[in-house]
Amino acid sequence: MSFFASFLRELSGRSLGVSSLLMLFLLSLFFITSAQYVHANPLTGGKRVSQQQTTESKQDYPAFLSTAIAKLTIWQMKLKQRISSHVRAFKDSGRIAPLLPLFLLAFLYGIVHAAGPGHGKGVAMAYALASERHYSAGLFLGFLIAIVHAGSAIIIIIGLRFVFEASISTNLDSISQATQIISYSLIFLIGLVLFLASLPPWFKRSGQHDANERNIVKYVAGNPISAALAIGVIPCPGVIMILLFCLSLNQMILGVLLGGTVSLGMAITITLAVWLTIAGKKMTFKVSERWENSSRYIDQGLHTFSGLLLTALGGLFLAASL
Amino acid sequence: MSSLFFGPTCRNNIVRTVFLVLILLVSPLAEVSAHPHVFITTRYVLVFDENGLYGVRVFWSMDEMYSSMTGADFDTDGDGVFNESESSELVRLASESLPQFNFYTNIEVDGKAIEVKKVTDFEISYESGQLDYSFFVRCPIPFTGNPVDFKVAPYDPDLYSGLFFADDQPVLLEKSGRFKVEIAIKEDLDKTIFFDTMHPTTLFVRFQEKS
Repeated sequence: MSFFASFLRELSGRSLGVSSLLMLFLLSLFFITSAQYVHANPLTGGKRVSQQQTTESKQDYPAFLSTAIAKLTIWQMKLKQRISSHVRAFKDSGRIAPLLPLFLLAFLYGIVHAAGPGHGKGVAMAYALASERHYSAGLFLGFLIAIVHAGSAIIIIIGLRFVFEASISTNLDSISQATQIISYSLIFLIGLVLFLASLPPWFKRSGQHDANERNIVKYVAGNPISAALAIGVIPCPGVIMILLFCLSLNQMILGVLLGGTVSLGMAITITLAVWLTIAGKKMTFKVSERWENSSRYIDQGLHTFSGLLLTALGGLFLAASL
Repeated sequence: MSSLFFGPTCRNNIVRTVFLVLILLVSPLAEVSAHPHVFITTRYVLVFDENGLYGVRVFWSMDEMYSSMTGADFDTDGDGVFNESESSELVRLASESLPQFNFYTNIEVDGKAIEVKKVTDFEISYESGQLDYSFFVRCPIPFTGNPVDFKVAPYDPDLYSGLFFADDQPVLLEKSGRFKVEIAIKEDLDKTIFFDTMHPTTLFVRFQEKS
């Protein structure tokens, strides 16, 4: 961990070398393998595989990181408090006035909430590395993931409360785990298809393409709708909290509308993460144009690497969630 | 390529920034759903006896949304208040899982962590939409003649729950008459949590016999 910390400090303050880029990928894989991803709420008896060990440190990493995460946490808390009080004010007064700031707060909460860990940004970026070349496609992917992510939460909560009339706390963890298994299985499959599809071009001359292989990638694994469903199906805990709070005040419609607004905020953040990847990819291609024939290999290399990364992510998350 | 990555240009800084952000997003930080789902305001009462510290009484106030969600779920008779059976059911469930996380009460004496696997007087109340937990952590730290230093940090290492000290009276002392107790709440720069990214806000305590 301290190696990672030193590396981050170097990255933030000094020059960025090719070796650093290689380390970036290796370290990402290292952390992916060292983490556990099973969650449940210990406050109500949920068992959780702890991911973290506390470590001794002499602050050998960028201080801004600690500050940024602490600030994100505090902003979320404050936004949640304000959303709670505005929902209560709307319920108590019946006036529409608190609604405008309420929706603005929900939108901001979505942006901040998705800026924290989770919400499929990493997987979406790996997917974009494999499949997306255009910012418009990234925008579509980001919004679709956010909508599915929030929609999944709304459907599960309303289903549990009104269709099955079941306890939320007792069932939410197991349902979330089921959606995780579905999501990670799909991510694994999509990654595998993209990885396998990236292999034949290595053995062919430039310009030779297999139409069937391309169709499989284009319409199944490479389709942003499949990717958004796979990544977003895990219900968003932020939307769940807001919806449950509104339900406790008998404000279901308001809860659903707020959940939708949160998803729009999340879409902004997820899209930005995807755009970063696309920008990095475009930049890499631009740099590679300086060498003859290199762009083809860089393109193929990125496809192979990102397919492998998605497969590894899906497989490791799946193993941890079973 | 080398001029792009090594040259002292503006583009160089942009590249560095982009990749720094990328590493943060692609690392497991990006995949764990660990950012706080529950916000807990924490208060401690440091309980002393004649020998030194006897233990820490912990009070947690859950945020309003989480209170409503859990309250609605465990308030089975729907009267807006936990009765004894509703409360004891939640105490039973929490007692099964919180030991795994030292009850989010991370105590350290002379650089050595004390495991918190058992607590006493565990009570959970729900009233007027507010969910509160309280319990007592017995952890005797005797006074042996020299000033004694220890730390207590409220945190969930996975950041599922975000714990904060209360703005108002975060720490109280009980039966500390024999001792002069100095306290400070600040970030513990020697410790990092959550994938090496955060210093936990910690209560630093030093006590010694009054002269």
